Amino acid sequence: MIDQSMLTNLKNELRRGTQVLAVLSQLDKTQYGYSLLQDLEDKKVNIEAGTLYPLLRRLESQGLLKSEWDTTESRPRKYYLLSEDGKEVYQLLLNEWNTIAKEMSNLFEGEK
Amino acid sequence: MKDMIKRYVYDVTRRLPENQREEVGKELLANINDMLPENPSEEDIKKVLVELGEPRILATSYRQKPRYLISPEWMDDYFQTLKIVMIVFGVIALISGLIENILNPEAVNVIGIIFEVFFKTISEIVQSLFSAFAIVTLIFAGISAHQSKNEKCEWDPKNLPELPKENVKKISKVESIVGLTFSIIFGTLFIYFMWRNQVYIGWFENGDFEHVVIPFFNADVLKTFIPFYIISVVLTIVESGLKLKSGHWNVSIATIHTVEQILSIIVLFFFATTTNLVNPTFWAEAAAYTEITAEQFSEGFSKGIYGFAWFVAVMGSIDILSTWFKTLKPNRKEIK
Repeated sequence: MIDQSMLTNLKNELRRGTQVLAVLSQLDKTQYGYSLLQDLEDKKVNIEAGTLYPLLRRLESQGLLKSEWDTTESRPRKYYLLSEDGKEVYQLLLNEWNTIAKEMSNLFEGEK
Repeated sequence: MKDMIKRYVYDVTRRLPENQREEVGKELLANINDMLPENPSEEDIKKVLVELGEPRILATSYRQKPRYLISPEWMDDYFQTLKIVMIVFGVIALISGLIENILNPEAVNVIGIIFEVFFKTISEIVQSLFSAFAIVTLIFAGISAHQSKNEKCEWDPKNLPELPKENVKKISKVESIVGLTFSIIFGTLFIYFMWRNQVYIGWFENGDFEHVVIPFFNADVLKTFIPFYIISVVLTIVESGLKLKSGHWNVSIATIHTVEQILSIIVLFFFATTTNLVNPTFWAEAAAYTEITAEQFSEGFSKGIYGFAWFVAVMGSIDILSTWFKTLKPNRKEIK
């Protein structure tokens, strides 16, 4: 019997690193927090709200995202968009992801 | 109803650095409102807040750096140091507390003094353990804070600790057997003589018809110490037996050893504080033969016992400490 909580933990660990990539990939157009959450959900990438919002703040403080408050509507919203640095980092991370995917699939196929 | 959202936002932001509170609060409020339908019911609000998670956890995710008093890498050293320092402080407080309270009792009868000594000593031990805890924790918090600032330092494999000697805990069989034999023989003899009033330390005079004996100790006073002495002998016998059985130091042997040592120290100090322990006639007799007065004899003797008691107390403390270090030191097993 596999310990389910251990399995969940391992899965989460594996996914954690991909969250930044997922978020950066969707911010070539401006989005606010909740729209990004739904956008990712529509594409079957589930990220918890309690994880996404702090992550957006972190990426912004690292200079990868720029943000702007829109107060014209009844609900004020904070919109995010990739900065120049963000675009570059996204590209580099994407390359890294592809390398990892290739390395991994080589490993798995070698096992057969 | 809106109140719950405000309370949630407040509970998250109050845990963050002041300069971030306003911005995070605004973001969080906007996000929560986006997640809610138009004219939300209380249930809707609850659902969204539960989804966002506990304020404590959300605040931790908003904080960029993890916070801790003592970093995980230092935890082991911290516990180890804490253990040692607590033992040292505890033993010193125990013994110094006992001595201090025995020497200056406020209560007037024996039961009162025992209670007083017991509870005062306990409170001194507790105080001293708390200070030990506080000091060690502060020092390690300082080290942790310093280390996290300096990031990773270079380390040199040369500084690795030496391997500990193997089997430091072992007790030789001979030692245990000798201890057992001696405590049984001398213990029984001593108790017997004390009981029969036949402590043959005294002043002998050759009279014309018979020997006149002036005993050194006041027999009635001496007898009150018999129960303590019996306890101490029993403890020594039990300790030697356990040593023989297990062949190495463990917590129960160390505990018995500690109790026994402390008991001897207490009894010695009671011994020293007891007036009329020595038969006054003996001093008078002694004074008659020398140029020293009975008072001087008596005073010198009690000073001598005090000195001896302090000596035993210091040696006993050192012995107890080394016993506990031996006992609690992890025994290294050879990795093969």
